[in-house]
Amino acid sequence: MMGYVFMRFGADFRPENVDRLREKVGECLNRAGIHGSTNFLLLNMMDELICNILEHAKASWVELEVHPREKEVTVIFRDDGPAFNPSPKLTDEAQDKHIDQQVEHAEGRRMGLYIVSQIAKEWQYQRLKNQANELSLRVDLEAQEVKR
Amino acid sequence: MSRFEIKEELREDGIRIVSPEGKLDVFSFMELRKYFEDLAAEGKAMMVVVDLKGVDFIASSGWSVLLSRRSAFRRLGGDLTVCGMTENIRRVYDTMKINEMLPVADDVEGGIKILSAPEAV
Repeated sequence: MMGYVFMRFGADFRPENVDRLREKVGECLNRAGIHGSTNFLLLNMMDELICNILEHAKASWVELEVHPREKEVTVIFRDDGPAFNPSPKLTDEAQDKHIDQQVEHAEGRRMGLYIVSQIAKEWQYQRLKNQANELSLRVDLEAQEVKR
Repeated sequence: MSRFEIKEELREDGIRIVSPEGKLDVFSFMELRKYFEDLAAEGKAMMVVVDLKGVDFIASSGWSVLLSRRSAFRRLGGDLTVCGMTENIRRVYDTMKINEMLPVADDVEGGIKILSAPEAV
């Protein structure tokens, strides 16, 4: 594992921009020493959150920090969108209560947080003094390997 | 090349092999949903294998189309299964714990076997 990685970006929510952003996030994870299918798994989790932020919150910028440690990685998102605390929904999704109903009725629009809740082990939200959202997610890499 | 395409093959036994290619995400999931809705509109019991070997990214919106369309096909007496996932996509699938809701096979032949013996899933 290498040191922490930071990136800041602003992007219109368009396919070519999001594709480019995915490449950058994948490279960011590589620089943090996270490779292979673990890189792809974390990229999926981060993609769900980034797309939510860009599509729904209409944020003009997003900051991303990746802090790798020996057996875990912490990912921190900051954005200047309206205050939104996803923690209660993530906690609910982690308990796997509503997956069937989501599939039947929501046609995918809420499954993103379900995916995030299945990959991250802990999450913490705060509204910062500069009116930004900050969401911190901890992923237990050992537990993710065991799930395979 | 288009960012997302759908190819299909209708076998003599009536099983339809659907092969999306590209990224199945928030920008493309509606194309796949529309394709399946048009199939379902025929009102017949459809048996469908979705071969994902040409798909290099699936976001939640894409997974949800596959899951919800399987439910829709089953209500009409048909079924849907997926196959050909890359190692990366299989990792996401396993993490989501949706194997009972969306059966997976290694390849098209395996997918056809699942459709032929759904009770074995």
